[in-house]
Amino acid sequence: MSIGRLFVSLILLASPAVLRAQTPADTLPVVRRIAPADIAPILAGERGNVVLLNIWASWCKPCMEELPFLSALRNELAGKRFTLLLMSDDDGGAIDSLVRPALRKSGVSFPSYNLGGMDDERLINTVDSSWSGALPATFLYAAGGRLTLRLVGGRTKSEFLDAVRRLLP
Amino acid sequence: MKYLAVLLICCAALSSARELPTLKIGDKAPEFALKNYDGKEYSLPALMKEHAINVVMFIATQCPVSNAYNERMEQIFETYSAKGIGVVAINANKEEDVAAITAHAKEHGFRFPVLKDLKNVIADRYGAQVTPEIFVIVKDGTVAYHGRIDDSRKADGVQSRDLALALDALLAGKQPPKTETKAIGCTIKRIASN
Repeated sequence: MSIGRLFVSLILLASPAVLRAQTPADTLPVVRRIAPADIAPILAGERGNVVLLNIWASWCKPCMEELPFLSALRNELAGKRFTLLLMSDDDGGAIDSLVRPALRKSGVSFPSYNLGGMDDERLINTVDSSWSGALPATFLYAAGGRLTLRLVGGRTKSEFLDAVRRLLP
Repeated sequence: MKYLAVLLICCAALSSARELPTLKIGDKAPEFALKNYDGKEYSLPALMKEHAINVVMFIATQCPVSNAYNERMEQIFETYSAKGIGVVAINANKEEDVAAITAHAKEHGFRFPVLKDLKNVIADRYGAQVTPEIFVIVKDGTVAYHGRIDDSRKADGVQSRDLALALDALLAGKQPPKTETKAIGCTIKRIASN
């Protein structure tokens, strides 16, 4: 390689565009884009486990306060018949720019979902038609799939933990 | 379809104690007398004497969803106050004081009053849960429309202007095409109890 070509290559490597290019770490944690209609089959796949479904958004301050301890709660209940499902309602175009960074900041490394921030009414009526649409919203399902509790607004870790433990065998 | 049916059957959720019942269509709207950020008092009875139809909007200064609707709320005020409809906003968030409401209203050029609901007493009586959340009150004092302004947080994605459609119908002496709608928004931050 000529000195000139080497120089150009070094300049390119140091350019902001190259530095900004996605690294494998940028694509983690895994966030799968889904539609409200996908929620029921996802829940059905968890039948047999107590399920805590948390719907959050990066723009929602109390949601962001809950995420770290929801993640901690999942670790605490590892090995139990328990599933934590996180579904962000951020715009689908913001998975890389907002959703993953928010998850990483909150210590979430496991896969979760993104609802795309569209079709609010369908989302609300699919999950729980009695829900106002206020975020954060968390729904607790018994192992048989029955919705037993809706927790709207910012909550504490102990509120979640107590509610889940009441349903665990 | 099978999954959906199972899910719907399972949807008899037990809500937590913090959620209050929301007014239903046809319910009498509770009276209020609240101060605007400039100190002037607005009461529902006085508003109803002045306007046959009143729009009550629960809003917030810090909620990104409510803020996404600032321009659209101002447009609603501009369009429908010219047609004789009253438009007021209520801020019931415990974390947002009169100074914050004043700065926010001025920053966004609101021409409608933004009333401070101290201790979320009126939000509790209406069962308002989210911002923005709209109640349209008609001549007999009952709720004729409840829910969202439209179906998209992004102004360029709106397909159904539900509040405007409801107001147009009511002005024409008809029932709104949809009387109850829902949307994702921010929880109203309340004091623990009243």
